[in-house]
Amino acid sequence: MNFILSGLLSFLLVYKYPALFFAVLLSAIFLPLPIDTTLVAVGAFASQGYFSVSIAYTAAFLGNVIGDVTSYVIWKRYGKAIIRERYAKKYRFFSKLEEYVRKYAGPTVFASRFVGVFGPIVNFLCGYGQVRFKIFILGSISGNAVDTLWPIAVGYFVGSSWENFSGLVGIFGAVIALIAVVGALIRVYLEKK
Amino acid sequence: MSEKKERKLLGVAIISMIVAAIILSAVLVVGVRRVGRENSISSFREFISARRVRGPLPATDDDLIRSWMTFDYINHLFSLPVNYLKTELNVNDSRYPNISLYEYGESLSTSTVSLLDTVRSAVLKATTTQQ
Repeated sequence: MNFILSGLLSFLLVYKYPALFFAVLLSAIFLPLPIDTTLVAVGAFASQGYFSVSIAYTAAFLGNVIGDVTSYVIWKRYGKAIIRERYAKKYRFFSKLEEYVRKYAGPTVFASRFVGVFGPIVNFLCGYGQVRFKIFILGSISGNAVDTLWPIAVGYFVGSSWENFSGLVGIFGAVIALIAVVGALIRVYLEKK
Repeated sequence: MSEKKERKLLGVAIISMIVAAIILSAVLVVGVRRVGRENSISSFREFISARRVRGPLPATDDDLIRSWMTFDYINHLFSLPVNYLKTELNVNDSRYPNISLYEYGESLSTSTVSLLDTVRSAVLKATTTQQ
């Protein structure tokens, strides 16, 4: 087990739900923390009666959604000033990407919740691309509702053996996101035809 | 939007999605390898056949104790009295029981491995005494 995950788990065991909320919040904004594995551990703690499954789920879900919204608002407000002046005028790729994100915002936000690294990137693109808040929040809430639930459920089910199953976390997320990406590719291809 | 612009936009969309699909496939391959290393499939079979009961763990599970665990969590996990480990290990740290074994070991300049062994022995002893 790596040093970051060990530290994160100790932090959770000491400060419980506030720690879970802030770890998930920071991860949703920008910090690359092993949150899915942590949520599996939280599910296991809940199965042992050390955490309440409903409070843990609520804390993690709120952390994710608030983190997403914070990141979106920051990039919506300052993204143009930071990026546009320096890069977007030089590279037309940015303006094309902006248009693309606006067009497929909902499904992109939903699918990106399942693979940790994509979440903050998509939050940035949505804020920078001035995607409508209503579309962004709907994608974030629906994506996070599922993405927060399943690792906790896996941990709750396997209990103390959770460490043996943490590898499944990456696979499940990647499969869901891959299905979404392939689906979107087919849709774009059909539109092009 | 002009047709030319639309085409370019679709081109960007397709390239972005292909890149995303490549990254996701890599994540998938790494995940499958990790599952093989962790022996998840046989662990799952063992888990199902053992039909573990939720609640306190038996002393035979003392190998599940890790350095990131706090004393409070270990007490809860093995249903030990709150001050049992404090007395048994002579813990004088004011943060007890909300301190991890790793942090406690660091504060004493003791190696984590030997501290883990001591805690495991104490847990085993407590459960044997209870029986």
